[in-house]
Amino acid sequence: MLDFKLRLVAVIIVILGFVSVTCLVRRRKVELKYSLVWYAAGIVILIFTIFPQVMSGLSALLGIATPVNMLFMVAIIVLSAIVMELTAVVSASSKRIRRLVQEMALLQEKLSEKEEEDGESS
Amino acid sequence: MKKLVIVPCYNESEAIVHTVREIEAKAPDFDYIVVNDCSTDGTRDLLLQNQIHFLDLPVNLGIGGAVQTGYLYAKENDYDVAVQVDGDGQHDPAFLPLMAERLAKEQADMVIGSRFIEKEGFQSTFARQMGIRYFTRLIRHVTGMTITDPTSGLRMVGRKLIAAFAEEYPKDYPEPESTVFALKNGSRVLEVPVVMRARQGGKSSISLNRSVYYMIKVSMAILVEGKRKHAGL
Repeated sequence: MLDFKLRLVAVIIVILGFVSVTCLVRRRKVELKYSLVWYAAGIVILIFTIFPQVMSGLSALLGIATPVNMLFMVAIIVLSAIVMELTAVVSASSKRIRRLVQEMALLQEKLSEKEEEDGESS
Repeated sequence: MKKLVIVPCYNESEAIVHTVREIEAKAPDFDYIVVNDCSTDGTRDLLLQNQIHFLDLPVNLGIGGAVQTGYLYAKENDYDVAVQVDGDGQHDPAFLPLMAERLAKEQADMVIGSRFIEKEGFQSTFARQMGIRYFTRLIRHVTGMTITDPTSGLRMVGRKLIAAFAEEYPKDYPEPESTVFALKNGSRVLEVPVVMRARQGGKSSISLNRSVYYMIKVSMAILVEGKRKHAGL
């Protein structure tokens, strides 16, 4: 069984996590879209700590020695999924930035061509 | 009074030319700017061929980003009034002069064209109406104001909100969130009854799968916006 102290600590940490994510979103440092995963992750961890039967049941099913280990495994899996999503977002963002840079360069060229033309005709 | 119509457009090649001509005909004292959100269906060529005034986004930003570009344009070109008219033909520009009149007369910061005051014209699907009614209640809870059509894209704003939205505008499903933002910052928001039509071609961007994300995201956005510190505009 999971130690009561550990469960309490986990709940406190998750609640602090919710508060700080909400704070970041309020101050517009994090977009709401990306905060949703963190809320979901927090809720999953809360379920596990409040209902340890779920944890011990699942860990028995998966053949894991102690429920604590399963908590860590789940946390690692969730974090990996979040990191993966962020990697995808970063990749998309860098593609868009590249496109912007290219468009700007093309625009600059068009602009200086026009200026030259205007210069010549006046 | 310099007035601008912002026409966000993503893959609306079927309806966009007609929409622009309608604006020119029914709201002749409004300027317009089409914001082409990196459409992939030949919209750009269509706009060039028809000599339609437009902004060409090199990267797709979504409705929030596209409309915000319109507000930026309005701010930089010193417009007094900016109104959003969707590129799919759902909004009837005949209501624009009326909305502008109400905005001026009642010194409002925002005028929303609502389908649900007189309940005439296109009322959207039952599911969407339920969703919209839920948002109305949520917004009332957070701001005290009853907005009957919080998802309506047919919205007109004055200088204060043009500047505010040019700075900060939600990325997706922006209408309910930005309405709460406006209300929380002490803006005067009114609704006028309008009649909308079904979209004249093209596809809606909100599919069934996205509806769950939409409901959750917009609800949370409304709640968070309600809880932010607002210094007024």
